[in-house]
Amino acid sequence: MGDLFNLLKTKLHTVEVGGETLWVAEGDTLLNEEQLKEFAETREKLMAESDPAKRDNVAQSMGLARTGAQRHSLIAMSKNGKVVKWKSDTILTYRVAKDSFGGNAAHYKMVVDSIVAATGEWQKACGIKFQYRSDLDAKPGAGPEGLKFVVKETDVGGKFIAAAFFPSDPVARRIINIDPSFYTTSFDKVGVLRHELGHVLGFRHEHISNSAPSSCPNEPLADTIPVTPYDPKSVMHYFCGGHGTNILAITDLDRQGAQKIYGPPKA
Amino acid sequence: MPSFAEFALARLPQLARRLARPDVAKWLAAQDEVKVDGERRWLIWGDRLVDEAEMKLDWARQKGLVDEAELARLEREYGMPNPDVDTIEIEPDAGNSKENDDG
Repeated sequence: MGDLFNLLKTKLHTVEVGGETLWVAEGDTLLNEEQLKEFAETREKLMAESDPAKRDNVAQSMGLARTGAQRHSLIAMSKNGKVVKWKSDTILTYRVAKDSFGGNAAHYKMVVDSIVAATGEWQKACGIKFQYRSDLDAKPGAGPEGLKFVVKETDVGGKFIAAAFFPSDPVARRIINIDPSFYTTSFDKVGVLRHELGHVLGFRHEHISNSAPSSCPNEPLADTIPVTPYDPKSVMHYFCGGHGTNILAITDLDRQGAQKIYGPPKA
Repeated sequence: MPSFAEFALARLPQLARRLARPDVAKWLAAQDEVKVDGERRWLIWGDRLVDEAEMKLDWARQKGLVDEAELARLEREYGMPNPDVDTIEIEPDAGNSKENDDG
């Protein structure tokens, strides 16, 4: 023991809490020096595991560098080493739950216009098809109501601007939630939804790449597959570490990565 | 319908007991909880909402407390992946992908 401990001390992000330096392990666990030693000891035992996949999972969970081939992105979610995606013939039908906007027609329209624009741009970027079912917007309830997903307002006091789901999520959880902070954000509103729709298509955050600045938020890399080289301007990159943009445009690399998975745009 | 994590923890009582301990409750209390449509959810990665069971199951996986083979078996029992979802292999260099037979 010792090598990993020293490596973690230099590699993991640190925060100062009450005058004490704490290391951020596994994305969200704060450890003092003694706890970091124990953590390293446990992980060294696991790293001695003969199964390479398990070894890699342990390395990923610690936020350490992975093998060269895995230091890239656009990053897709995966299962058992395979990319998770919508089936080729899937039409991603959706509605915008009008009830959720509390009668504010301007906010409802802003979200409708933004999601229509954002879905249109993903359709131009790769072989995925969306269909807006405005005829079901007024249907009561906050669920997808037989469609693939629903977009609705949810007031969480600005904890997020918008939150999405992955293809693997159960049907009842296929919701794009929009916080009222969306209406006043300095981020491009269509861009915010381009980003959330990237998750809907199965893409993870670009800034979790090991090539991203270390000051960007961390996430476990388990169950991910890098699809393109790291793209600091990716639609999936947060505005962090001097990278990302508040426009959140779909870049050429995003397009290339999305087409690897969904093929070229459909006619 | 329960989330997969709720389904799995209902079938893994030993793990569920471990996850009911105070250290896990303390850890969970320090995470970013939000109320969505009256339901308790936790915000992870800045823009993803998960339920309590998902939070705890992820915690257990990161700590190496989960038998991944057993979890894979439970995923199949639960009906994952969703019928409208596929898995594909990416050709590393050619930039092409092929549909997977078992998807």
